[in-house]
Amino acid sequence: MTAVVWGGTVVGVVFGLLHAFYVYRLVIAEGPADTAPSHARAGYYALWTLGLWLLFGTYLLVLWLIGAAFWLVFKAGR
Amino acid sequence: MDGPMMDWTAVKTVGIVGAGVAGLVTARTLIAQGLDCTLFERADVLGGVWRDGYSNFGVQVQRELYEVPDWPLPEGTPDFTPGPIIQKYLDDFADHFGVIPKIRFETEVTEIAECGGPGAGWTIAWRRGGEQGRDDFDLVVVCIGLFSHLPNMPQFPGQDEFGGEIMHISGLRSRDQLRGRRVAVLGYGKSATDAALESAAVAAETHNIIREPHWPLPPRLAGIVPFKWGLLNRLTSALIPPYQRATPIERMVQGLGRPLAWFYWRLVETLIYFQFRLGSRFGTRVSLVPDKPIEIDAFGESTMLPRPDYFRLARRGVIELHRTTVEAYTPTGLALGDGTTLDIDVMVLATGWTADFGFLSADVWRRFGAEDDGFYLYRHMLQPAVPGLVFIGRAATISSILTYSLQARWLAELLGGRLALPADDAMARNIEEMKAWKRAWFPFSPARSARLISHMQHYHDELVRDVGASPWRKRGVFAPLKELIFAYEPSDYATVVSGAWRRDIPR
Repeated sequence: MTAVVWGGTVVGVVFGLLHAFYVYRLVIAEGPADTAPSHARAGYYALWTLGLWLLFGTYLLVLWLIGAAFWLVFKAGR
Repeated sequence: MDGPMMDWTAVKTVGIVGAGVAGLVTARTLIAQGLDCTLFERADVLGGVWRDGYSNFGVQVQRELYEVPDWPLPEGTPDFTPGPIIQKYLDDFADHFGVIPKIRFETEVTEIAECGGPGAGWTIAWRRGGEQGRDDFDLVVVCIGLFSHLPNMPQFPGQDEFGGEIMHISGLRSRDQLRGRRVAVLGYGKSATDAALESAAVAAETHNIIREPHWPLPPRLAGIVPFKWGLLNRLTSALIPPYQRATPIERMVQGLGRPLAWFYWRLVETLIYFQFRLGSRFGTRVSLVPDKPIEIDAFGESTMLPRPDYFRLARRGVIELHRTTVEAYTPTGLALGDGTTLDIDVMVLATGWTADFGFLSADVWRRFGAEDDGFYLYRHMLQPAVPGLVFIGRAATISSILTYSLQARWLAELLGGRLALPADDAMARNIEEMKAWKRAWFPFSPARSARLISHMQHYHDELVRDVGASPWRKRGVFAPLKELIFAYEPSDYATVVSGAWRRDIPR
């Protein structure tokens, strides 16, 4: 159980950082609705992105594992 | 860079074909920009499909998904808004924005032809009663939707010997036409299920003949989560088969994250399966579980958003479902593909409409390159080989009124010189890529070229980016979270559609 939680957290950190960097660049380029783009806003969006990945990383990992198991069974059965 | 043959910023006069939703939002946007618009409407009232529908017709989605972004529906408007309320709403909209004086009612467009060479303007030939005429315009916008007003009436052997009545859904004006009779409804789209419900209320028998079932989309998944949250937010937009121009995140979700996306849709299917009890062995002991996975089926011929009572009445046998084909008429009814026969008095064909662009000259029509699945356009609006002829309303999405409003804004920005088109060959390449992408996985339908359905989020993002606004429309402290899990609704685009976003951004 602990291993799954740690594994999920690591997944969350890795993908969260990559995703947060991507979101930061997008918001800098485009800006949220009807406001000028700014580093502060982009950072805020990036922080949210990283936070959500950290919070849900374990759940995503578990769902991915379950999904992969069902998917393999489904593919094998076709 | 603009195409070499068309100076969009020189456009002063615009002919708009159709005064339905697409025509009205286009006229409103272009009039506000100071352009001289003339709308040609075949009927004697505006509203298009909303002016005169079949009995009990209405919107397929919740009210907040079907309103002009900066012109909200009145307080107290019900979900799945009935057609007459939408008609009144459109009347008020057209009146408020000064569109009505620009409409020529009862005027049928008979031909649209180029004035001189490509890009030199267009002539619209029209007929009104016994009167005929021609008018020249710098630009013509075709706003007649995906199909024409001509019903699609499938023919079957033995039709002449059938002793009952055959009617298209458009001929069903009142449920009284079905009272006490034995009725068969052919089809499984929104209008078919509406007709079956009307029939079930008054008819002696109601049969619904379904060639291919589709996954029904409930108003609320599992009776709890509004379907727009399960299907219309950025999170779930990343889980459907990727868009033609997918983001890196979406490509990753569909690559490494594929088992997660696959599992999500199987969960949604399971919820819908139990919610509607699709394995119930309705009617002829055949289940209504579709053959295609939901994330593919949703992009096919028919998107199913049935009224809540439909499946309840089907389970009770009030509506008897037949998963088969019609092989022939008999003197007293129908011979079905499963070997059974039905004795009926009325056959209701809920089989849609035919496409008819006969008003375009042969040379112009050839340049659109129409095939079995329709014709493809740049941004679902332009064909670079036919400059100055624009289609608005030729994009089938779940929130069509929002899509048309954004298309109208996109066109206004183009005509105002604030949006630059790619070169013609780049647009042609873009069209070919869109064609290849859709044909790779969209189920075939005669309107596949125009279908986007829940990929509308990606399409709307492109239109909004093109005009220079931000696609990130959610506001407030929780905006980043809302971007991910909240559904995008017309009201999110109010300032884009009105053009106010330019004024509000401090540059």
